[in-house]
Amino acid sequence: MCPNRDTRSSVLSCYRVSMPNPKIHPAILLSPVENGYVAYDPISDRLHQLNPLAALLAELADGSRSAEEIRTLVEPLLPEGKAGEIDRWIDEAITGGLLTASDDASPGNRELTAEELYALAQRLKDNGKVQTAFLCAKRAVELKPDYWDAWYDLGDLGQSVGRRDEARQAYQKYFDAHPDDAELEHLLVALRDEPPPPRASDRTIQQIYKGFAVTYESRMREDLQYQGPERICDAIRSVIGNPSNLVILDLGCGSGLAGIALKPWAAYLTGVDLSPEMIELARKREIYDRLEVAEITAWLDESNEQYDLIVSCDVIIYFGDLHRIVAAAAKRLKPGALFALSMERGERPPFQLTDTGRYAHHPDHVREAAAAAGLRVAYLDEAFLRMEYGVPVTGLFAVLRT
Amino acid sequence: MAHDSLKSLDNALAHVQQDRRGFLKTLIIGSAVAAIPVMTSQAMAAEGEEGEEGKKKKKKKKEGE
Repeated sequence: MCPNRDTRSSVLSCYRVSMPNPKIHPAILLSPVENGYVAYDPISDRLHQLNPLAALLAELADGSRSAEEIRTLVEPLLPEGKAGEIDRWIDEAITGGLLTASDDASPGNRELTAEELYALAQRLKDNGKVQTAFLCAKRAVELKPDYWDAWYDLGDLGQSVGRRDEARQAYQKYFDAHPDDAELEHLLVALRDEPPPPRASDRTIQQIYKGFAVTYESRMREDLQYQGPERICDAIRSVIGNPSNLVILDLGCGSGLAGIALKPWAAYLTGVDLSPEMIELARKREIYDRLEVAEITAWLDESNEQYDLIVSCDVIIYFGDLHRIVAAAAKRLKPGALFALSMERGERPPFQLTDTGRYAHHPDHVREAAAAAGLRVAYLDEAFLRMEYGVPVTGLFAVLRT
Repeated sequence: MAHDSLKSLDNALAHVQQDRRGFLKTLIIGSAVAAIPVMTSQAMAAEGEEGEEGKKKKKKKKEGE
């Protein structure tokens, strides 16, 4: 009989005398990451994260030494009276499937490949586990420095976890190998804190929505709780109530999210957008009387039509200086007509290019651009726009009047 | 880390694969909070513990886009 059975650690220690040497389960895929190890168990589809001391224990558990011997080696590194934590951890690791205590002579574990780490990073990201995903992606590019997809995702994840410098470096690495990537070119201007261009290039916007169109609505409405169309309609209602029979221009109509809200007010609804993919989605809604693929400022300049209401919802985020677009819209307004626009609210005038590649505008800049175009500010207020990185984004909603 | 602890650490690391020793030593010396071994586990298929924090407006990029 084992003495001192009254304590858990003693009982476990007794058990361990006859226990085969612990070792990492042969199926486990292990990888060092910046704060310890990650260990993927393909049998249970679970991912374990080990802090540095746990990583050391895992390394020592190679089947060549007993739990007692492992404890003897690691005990001096723990605070006094904490040696039992080693036994506890070994038990937990055996229960959790990380370690095995059997006489199985199968070969030891192997390290995760770059591809496996990247696949894990993507799954973790999809499940919202961005911290762990970041670690896996980082290790993937360490193992395979020309793994461009992993570099891109590392940039993306770096932004998600607030590692701005690492995000910039990862995006830069991807961009160096893909210099035609207009979206990243634009984003890197922000991440390098360079003076922003007056607006995002057409190529940038087209590239963003070429890839984004398919998932745009589910991502915006479900994942990010996007409220732009509702809030901009609230703003318009606060100025003119519930209108009807208006000739409306949906400027940068995208897939038609705002168009749905505007349709009940419209006698004739026109949509213009730079992205053919988004226009195609808008066309399928069958709510627009006319749809055109065009850059909106140029389209306004070339148009001779006059509107009762021009709405630009979630479009001005690609424009820095508002003077040009507001002036172009003002020329297409009938007397007494409205130009309603939504923006992200910026903290300082006139505007900033944010780390997301979108512009944020200060209310003062909206007032200046309106005044310069001969428009009055009928409404200017802020409200919740959507979520990003788990944080609410404040929108700025303006209704300008001739 | 105290001299004795460093000696103990080197002693433990002597039993670890050589290519991991430096990495582990740096980690352990640098992790003052990691006074005890800790393992956290998560099911890959489950919903994220970190909620929506990773979600953002942009699309997911694929090679060749």
